[in-house]
Amino acid sequence: MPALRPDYLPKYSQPPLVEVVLGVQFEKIRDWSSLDAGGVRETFSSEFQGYEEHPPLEPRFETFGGLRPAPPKLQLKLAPPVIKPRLWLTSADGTHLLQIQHDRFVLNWRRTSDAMYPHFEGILPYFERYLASFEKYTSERFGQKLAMTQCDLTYVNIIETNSLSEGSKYLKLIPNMIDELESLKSTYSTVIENAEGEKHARLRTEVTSVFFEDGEKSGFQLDLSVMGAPEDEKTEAAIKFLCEAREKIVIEFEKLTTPFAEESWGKVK
Amino acid sequence: MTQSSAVFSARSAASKFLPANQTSEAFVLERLIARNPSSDWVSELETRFRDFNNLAAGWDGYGGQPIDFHCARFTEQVLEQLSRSDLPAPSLVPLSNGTLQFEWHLNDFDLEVEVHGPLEMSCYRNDLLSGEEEERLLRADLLHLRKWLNDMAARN
Repeated sequence: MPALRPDYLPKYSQPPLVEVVLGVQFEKIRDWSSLDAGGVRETFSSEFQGYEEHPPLEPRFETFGGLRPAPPKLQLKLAPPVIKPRLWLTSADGTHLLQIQHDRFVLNWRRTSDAMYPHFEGILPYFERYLASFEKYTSERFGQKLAMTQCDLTYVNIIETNSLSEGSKYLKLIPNMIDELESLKSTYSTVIENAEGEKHARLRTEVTSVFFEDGEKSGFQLDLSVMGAPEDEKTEAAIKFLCEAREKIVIEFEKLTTPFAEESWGKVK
Repeated sequence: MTQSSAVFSARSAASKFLPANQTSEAFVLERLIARNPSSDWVSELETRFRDFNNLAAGWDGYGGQPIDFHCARFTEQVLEQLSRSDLPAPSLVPLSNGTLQFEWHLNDFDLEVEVHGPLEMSCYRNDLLSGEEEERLLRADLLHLRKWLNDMAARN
């Protein structure tokens, strides 16, 4: 298991992060039914009072060596015979969201106006604790341990600027030769190999221009996401995957940002 | 954003921002349903996938299991990645244990891929001209399968 924060990782006192998403996908729980909405809600009722139901996330699997290294498409054409909803459980302060369905478990941390970023090492223990509670529930109800197939970690950043043309002050990806930049969208991906040299995950980066709803300000949304297969189906392997994914994301973030941006966001090392 | 598990609520600080030229509602919908057109193979096999997806237990008269949705979804993704215009779509067959197989018998090659589940494929190729047979177990890396398809297309 990697250290929660290796010494070589840069740290920022005020990063532009607005959302961090930790997720695992597992072999579906065959006997999962609508009754489990109540059981899951009860399991997390002390910390998550809000409840909603949403369409399920599709299963997806990272593959390599194909002709289309583009992100997997969401194929709503092929739907399971019975649609089982994704449950949303939200904390009272709005900072945490649990998303649970018969083959997914996801925790979102979201910045609210008064929330400080707790950093990955502050979020991961919550994810582990909630996942353990969920595993206890599934184990007792179905006699089935979760068998992890894919993991994903996503960091969503919003970089605020006075005009889109200012973007190159913060991000090396944004061209500085364009005077009146109206919009921008840029994506790329890289393949990650495990210790045995086997391709097992992919890092995706996307920069998109965005506007404030009030129309006064603009900025850029920078999404960094790692998804792939853990080394085995155990929970410990999934946690290890997420720790390694965090390192990849933070290192990529550092590569993409300018010294001006680092100073603005309080890079401490 | 390539994966829809990251979502914004009305209370999130991020919800103040919208991608250029989009309303917030369109943004949310796009994150849920946006996709590019499917590859030719997947479009061609769409009806087959749908039919398999609806197979009930005992569909083959011998206690056949329903096709596992994760297995079908993974197969669809693999075919999406391999699809090419110089080869026809493979035959897609359900197996009684709830898994799928796709195969070609073309240009003096037999090429069969049994998808046991996500990231778990047994691949077999028989070159009918040379008599050479080969078997591979593949997980996430499709490169070897792509090379076999190159050989098949080259013999066209």
